[in-house]
Amino acid sequence: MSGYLLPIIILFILLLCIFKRLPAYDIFTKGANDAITLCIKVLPNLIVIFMMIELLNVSGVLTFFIKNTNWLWKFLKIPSEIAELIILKPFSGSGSLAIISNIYKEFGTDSYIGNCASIIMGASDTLFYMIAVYFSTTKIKNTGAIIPISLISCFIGNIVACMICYLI
Amino acid sequence: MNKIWLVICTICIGVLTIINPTSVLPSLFNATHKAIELSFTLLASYAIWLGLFEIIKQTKIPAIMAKMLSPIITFIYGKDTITQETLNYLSLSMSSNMLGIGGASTAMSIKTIESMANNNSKVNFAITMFVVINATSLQLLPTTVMTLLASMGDNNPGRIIVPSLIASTVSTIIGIVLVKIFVKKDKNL
Repeated sequence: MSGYLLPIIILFILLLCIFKRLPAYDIFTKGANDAITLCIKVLPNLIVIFMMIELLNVSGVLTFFIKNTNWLWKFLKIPSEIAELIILKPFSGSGSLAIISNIYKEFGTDSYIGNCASIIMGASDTLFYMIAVYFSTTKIKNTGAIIPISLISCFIGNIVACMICYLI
Repeated sequence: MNKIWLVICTICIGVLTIINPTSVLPSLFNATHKAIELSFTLLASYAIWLGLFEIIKQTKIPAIMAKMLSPIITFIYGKDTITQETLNYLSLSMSSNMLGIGGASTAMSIKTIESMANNNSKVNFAITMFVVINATSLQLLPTTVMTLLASMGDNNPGRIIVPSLIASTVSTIIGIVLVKIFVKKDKNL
């Protein structure tokens, strides 16, 4: 079903062009040109944020952090595999995909941990990557309350996710 | 962002210098390489979506979308915090986000923020609200996870839709409430 959605949207846009006699080729080229400028502005931010993520992974600081906050996860009844996912998710999409595949392989997709992981993955976003990309075309340097508020809300959402799985 | 980046990188490089000094430079190169690779992928998706968006902009679709979504938007962002241009971008970004078209929604979100910032160098209420809502993810269909589940041989990936929706709605509502409490509203029309 959802496979038809995108082609239909695109087809609809092109049909509109025919109907309205728009110079589609020229307009599309202009948009693609915008994409290049955008990409050049985004790239430096990506490089710098990726360095941080890579360093976090390679140095083992992340795993160290999770092991030492064990009491918190125990208290919230969150398995340590899930804790790893919760902490990595704001930093790296590909990293958390790797964790989630491991969880599926180890515990099965239909297990409590598997379900938790699926829901957490679907209910939060890669915050730091997002901020790097979103603000790349603005002059904004200080993101104010965005990071703490997003992290707190996502964290509570994740706990809710685990609770839902606990109940079903 | 500056503080977080500096603190995390200093700690990590500090640790690495002690336990594995030869891995510092290779991992930095590795990261840069990944970033450049990703930016090419992004360029491809932006080119398609911004191209299509240029066409949409010539039609009345953004205005119609904005009209449909404006009750929700006014409810969340309050009156007079965003301009008509922002409203158009915002509603396109919201609708592509809900449909799960990641590439389109990122491209539109960048445009939305650009228009919300309006060349200022300070974060305002609308931007904070927008990023928090996006970060807490309001996606109707968690397509990535469902695809992954299906590829692992799970025979009912659809069962996670409702729980995901509940969890992400909770986090989004908490985010909205926190922004409303802690961030001052400013008029930037």
